[in-house]
Amino acid sequence: MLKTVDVTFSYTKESSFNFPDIELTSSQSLLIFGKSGIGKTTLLHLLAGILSPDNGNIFINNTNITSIGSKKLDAFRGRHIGIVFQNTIAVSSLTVYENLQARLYFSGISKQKKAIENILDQLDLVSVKNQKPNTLSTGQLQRLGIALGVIHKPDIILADEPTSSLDDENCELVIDLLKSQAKKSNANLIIITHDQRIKNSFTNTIVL
Amino acid sequence: MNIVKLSYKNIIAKPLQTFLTVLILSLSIGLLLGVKQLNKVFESQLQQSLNGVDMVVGAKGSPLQLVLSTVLHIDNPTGNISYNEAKKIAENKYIGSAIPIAIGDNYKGYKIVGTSIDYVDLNKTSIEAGAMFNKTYEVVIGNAVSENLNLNIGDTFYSGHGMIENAVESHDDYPLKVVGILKPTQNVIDRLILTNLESIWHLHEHEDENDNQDHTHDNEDITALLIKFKNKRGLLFLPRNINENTPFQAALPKYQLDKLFKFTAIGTKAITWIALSILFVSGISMFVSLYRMVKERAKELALIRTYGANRNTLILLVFSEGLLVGVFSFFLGVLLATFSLQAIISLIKDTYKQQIYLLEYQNDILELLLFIFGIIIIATLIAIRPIFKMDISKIISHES
Repeated sequence: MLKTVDVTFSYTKESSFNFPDIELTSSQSLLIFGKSGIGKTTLLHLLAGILSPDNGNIFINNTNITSIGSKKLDAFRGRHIGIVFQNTIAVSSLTVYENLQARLYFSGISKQKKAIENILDQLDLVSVKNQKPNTLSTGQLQRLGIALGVIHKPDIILADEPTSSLDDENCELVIDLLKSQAKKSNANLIIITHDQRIKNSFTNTIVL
Repeated sequence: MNIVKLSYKNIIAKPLQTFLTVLILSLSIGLLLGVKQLNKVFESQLQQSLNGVDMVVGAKGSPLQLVLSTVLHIDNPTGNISYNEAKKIAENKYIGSAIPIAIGDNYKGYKIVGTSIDYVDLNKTSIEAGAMFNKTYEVVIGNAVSENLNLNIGDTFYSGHGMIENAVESHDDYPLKVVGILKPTQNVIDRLILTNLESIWHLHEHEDENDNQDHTHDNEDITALLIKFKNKRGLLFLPRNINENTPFQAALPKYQLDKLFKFTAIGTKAITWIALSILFVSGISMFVSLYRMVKERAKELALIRTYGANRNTLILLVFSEGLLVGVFSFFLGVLLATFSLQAIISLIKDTYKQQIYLLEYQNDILELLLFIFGIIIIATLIAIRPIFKMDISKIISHES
């Protein structure tokens, strides 16, 4: 469950973002659509607790993430929020399997083996589990990014331009994967994008 | 997965950089430990070999040479002195004991020393097997001599004239018989062959007889008198008196060795400074390695923050990486020092017949470990500065 109230943020004194309020019930999805520079990524980082708003409140599962301390926020983010990046970031010295292990370790999840095997199977990454990220194809890397964002079964999955560098076929595939993973975790899925192709894939849309 | 495993994976992912850091760090550690140990062993063994000898009286020449040749048995003697004349000095009221020694022969490089039984007591050892020499041509051998030359009680051998192995001239008509083996002392006596003064005189008398049948037994020479003072006041009067009023030379072993240490300390200090310089460079190398890790892997560190790790966890990750490299280099350095020291000891044993025993150096190791730990902490503290300024949002935005 996600709720934002009167959230504003400014990088400089001259320009300020005033974001619309968001309210999502459990497992609802949302597409935040807008042009470049409109503050989409800023909003995503605010929802992830990476940035702190100047004003307003952000509630995730009834926890106001704008009012908890830094260490608690880090731990909260690790356990309850999953982020999928446009270009997958993974630890280059670790294999696919070890990256997933690291993801769970830092989230404080100790039972790892079954969760990793499941996600590898679901995202068709079993054959590359012992490979380093730099040896993966674009599609495999994108699936690894999704795996890293959802393996810990977060309450909210935030995807930042997940399809903008993909062809049509892979674009649809990634959206389906994100939707199915969100459904499995009973999580809210929030995608921010300027990609027109996925505009009609969501019923719940905010245009910035 | 845990912090240490992740650090380990990061380290082995950059093998060349890790190899260079480990190489120079372990080299400097090995060099520092090795030099320190060699210096300590050298000083300790020389000091130990003095056995409380306060003064050596011998032929005029270099006082250091006199001490080295008669107390430590690592140089040629300065010459011989008349035993009868020397005995007069021994009667002085300040002198507690005066042990005569006559050197000049060897067997396979091990020096043969003509002396009295008191020399064995002076070296704080006793017979391990057999008995003390009693008659002419009977010898008691040091433990290392017995072990290295495989000499046992009842064995006989011929001494060679001079101080070095393979002497051309040997006393082939007069075999020396092993009657006793001394207990090991880890001291110079372990590599000596002891006999009474008469044996040495007889060997050389017969040698002279071959040259000159008119040889007499009146002029019995020794190399030196090893003197312990009864009263330390002797130190004030006797050396000067002997040097000025007799044909002999009095040398003070402790003073001479201190002079020697001061001289050799220049070399060891130079090597120590070189090792410290390398250690400094390796500290910088470690800092550069950690700093590069923080800068180049900023997006990975930011990613780990999004996984739930806080700033302290990232600092721990950097520190852990430094610690792994440091600890591995340290143990490699200790191994390097140990093997190098063993090789040097073996070389010295083969070349100079000088047995050197390593001292326990756990304290040096611990001291150096703390020093390395300090370097790692300093390198980490400087390297983690970008973590405090890390803007996760900015880093991730540039990747997205």
